[in-house]
Amino acid sequence: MVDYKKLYSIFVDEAMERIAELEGGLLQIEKSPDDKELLNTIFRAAHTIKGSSGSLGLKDISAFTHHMEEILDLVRQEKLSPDKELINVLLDATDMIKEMVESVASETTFEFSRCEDLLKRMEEMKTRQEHVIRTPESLRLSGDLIARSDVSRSPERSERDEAILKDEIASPSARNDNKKEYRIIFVPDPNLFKRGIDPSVIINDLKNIGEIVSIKANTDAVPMLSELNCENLYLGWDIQLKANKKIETIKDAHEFIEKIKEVFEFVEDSSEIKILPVTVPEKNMPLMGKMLVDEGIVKTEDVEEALKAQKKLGEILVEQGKVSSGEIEKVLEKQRNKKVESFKNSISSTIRVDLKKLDHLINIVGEMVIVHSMFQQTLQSNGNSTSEKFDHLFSQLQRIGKDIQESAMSLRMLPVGEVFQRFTRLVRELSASKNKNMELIITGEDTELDKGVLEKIADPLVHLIRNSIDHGIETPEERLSKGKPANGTINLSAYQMGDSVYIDVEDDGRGLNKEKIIEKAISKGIINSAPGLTDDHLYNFIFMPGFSTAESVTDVSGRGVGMDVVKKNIESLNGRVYIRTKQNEGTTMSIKLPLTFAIIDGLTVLIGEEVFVVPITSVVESLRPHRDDVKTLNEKGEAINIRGEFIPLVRLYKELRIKPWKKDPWEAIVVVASHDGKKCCLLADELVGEQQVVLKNLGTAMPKIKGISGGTILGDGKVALVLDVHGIMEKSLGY
Amino acid sequence: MGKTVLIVDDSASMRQLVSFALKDAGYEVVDAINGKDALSKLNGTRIDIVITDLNMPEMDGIEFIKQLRNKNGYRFTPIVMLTTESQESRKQEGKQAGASGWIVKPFTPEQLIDIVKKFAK
Repeated sequence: MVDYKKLYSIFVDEAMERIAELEGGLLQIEKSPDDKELLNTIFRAAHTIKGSSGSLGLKDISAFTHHMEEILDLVRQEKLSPDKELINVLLDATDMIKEMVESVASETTFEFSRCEDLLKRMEEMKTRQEHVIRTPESLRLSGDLIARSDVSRSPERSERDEAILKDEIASPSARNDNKKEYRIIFVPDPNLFKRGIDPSVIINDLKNIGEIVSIKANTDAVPMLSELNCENLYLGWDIQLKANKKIETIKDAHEFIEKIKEVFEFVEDSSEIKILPVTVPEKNMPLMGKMLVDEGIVKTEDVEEALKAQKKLGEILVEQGKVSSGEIEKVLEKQRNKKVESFKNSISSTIRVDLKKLDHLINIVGEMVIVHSMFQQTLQSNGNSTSEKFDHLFSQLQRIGKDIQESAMSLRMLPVGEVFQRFTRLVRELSASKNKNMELIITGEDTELDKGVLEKIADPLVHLIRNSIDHGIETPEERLSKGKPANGTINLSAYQMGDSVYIDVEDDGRGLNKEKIIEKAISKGIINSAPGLTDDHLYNFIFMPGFSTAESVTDVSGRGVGMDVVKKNIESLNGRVYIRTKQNEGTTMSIKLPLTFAIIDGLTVLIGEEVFVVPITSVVESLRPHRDDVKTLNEKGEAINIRGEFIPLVRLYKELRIKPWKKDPWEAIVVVASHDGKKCCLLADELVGEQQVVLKNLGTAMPKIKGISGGTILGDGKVALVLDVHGIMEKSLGY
Repeated sequence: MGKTVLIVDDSASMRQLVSFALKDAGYEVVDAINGKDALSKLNGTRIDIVITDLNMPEMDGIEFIKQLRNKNGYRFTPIVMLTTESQESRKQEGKQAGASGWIVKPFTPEQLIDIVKKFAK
């Protein structure tokens, strides 16, 4: 027995991707309902979910998705139009599928009864189309389609079956044991071998449902040896098969014939197969034909001849001169091309890699970076023994190493578009529930971010967008009175600048209300009065816990939780949030994120016996100050005058409780570091140098230490701690 | 020696399911993500049976079947297509292209093995 569980995780990944495709596609189709390719993509997404869930034994998901697929198929056939109501139902259904898939992932049970309501709604949608197709014109059309595409279900055929069935049951010569015999005349398609089918296998399969009483090969069609094509099949068979179970009713007979047909399933329409009850031979013809034969009006052969003359719709139309065969071929060709085109555009060629493998690779590359530094150090310490050639090879190695590192890091990068797509849905729904009209414009969806960052950025973005909808964008009336267009716009954009990626959420709403913020800040006791505070400082109050300016609490936002969490989440990613706002013109929340946080450039400094790394992004400069520039300011502690600017001094050895070699700044070195526009001077004994380090966290055994963001292994194999400038400033300077 | 089955499907979970079931039943399995990939992986390898999806990017199942049928060494190889009940017309196209049979999705691993046994004798 196959253990499905092992396969679930791949299914879940895949299904989630398809669900995203479904959702994105549905939202898009509302805007461009005539996009056939898009419809195909959506349909295929549902189709794949249904197929793979069904095959994995996830019957609920498969059954539910089936209903969705049916609706999508009707839309594809233009029997249903994708209006807002339909899209709503389909979006809800997508959510339901998502929940079901999530329950597979978390190995919890999903109550299928929860789907009933939605199933009912989907049923309603389907009945809606029936009013449309019940017009005679379209009914006739769809009838034609069925007749053309499915030979075995043609009305002519079933009529014939009925005739056989009635005859044989009524036949007095049925055997006593009720195990009826059937005669099967099998004249296979001469090209059967070329389709990879071996007729003996098929005949053998008959043994599963009955006993082969006799079998005769018909060699009439075998040509002379000189004309014989050894790749063709010239034989036919006449087989007598005795059913291995009792056949007493029409239903039994029907079932058995179906079973025989199943055996010939793969060859039935290219080969000639006749299934006849042994007692009543040669009656496999339409009722009309049979009656004519019985009345002696025509001969059996004549009827068979006539039956063979029956043609396909296309052929008949050609004969009647309604279309030319060239035209039919053209239409078919067009159809084929269309399909090929849509396949091309649908799925990007990606490969799924286990994240663990990827992280392993990145770790190895990280170690290579370390060995590389070791190498460099050894070379330098050996001084003159390094030949020029050695130097040359080394720089080559360095370049390749950097390339490998960069491409390994890029493996973790994903386009932000995946996350952005979800927001189209969010905006659509929230704007409806708030009676505001707005549009989300997404730009830069190809901008890439580290997978880890991308996963954590979604929630903060939801918050920012909700805020824009809830507080930023005004009601249509208010907007019109201000001379703005009634519809609000939210721009969600991503772009890369230097080593950072920026994600901006920009609305054209009312902007932050400075007076209200001041009022609130005073009432909360954060400040006593406003003067002396920069706008920037004021706006940043909204990031404080419990600070909300919304007049009333709504279901969307305004509960006062949010902005502080947003800030915290983004800062945990080494990112920053900036606010730009203008009264009545709008607000932009700009999130700045590092491209990656696994490998950083660092400045290594020595304090006592210990080496520390200061991320280079935080370093402004390093210098040895003049004795006269080191001042002690009243109540504010020590500061260093650097070109007229007094920057507070942080004695790292005190913060880190290490015994230093040098305590006087004018003998040691100060590293001027900045965070968020604020600067501080970090006092260290000595500068060691600049190098790339692989940032590793300190593990769960260590509590999170303020001022330390992680550890790393240096070129000489020593372990060093990486300083977190922001944390140090908060801890020692209170900001 | 065990029989070798080539599974061509762009869905990773389908590939996994099929190869998992077949390996369990003692078959060797080679997989490919679309027709083009499959053709590039063949170059003379002995394949006893091919199982292919129809809807795939780059090169779909129909085109793949056509091309495979014209390749020396694979002209008589059984080809089973993976279809669904809603793909009746695609099934016809597949048969015309030279497919030997089909399995209707969703299927159980047991059904799959039955069909494979039928063709890979």
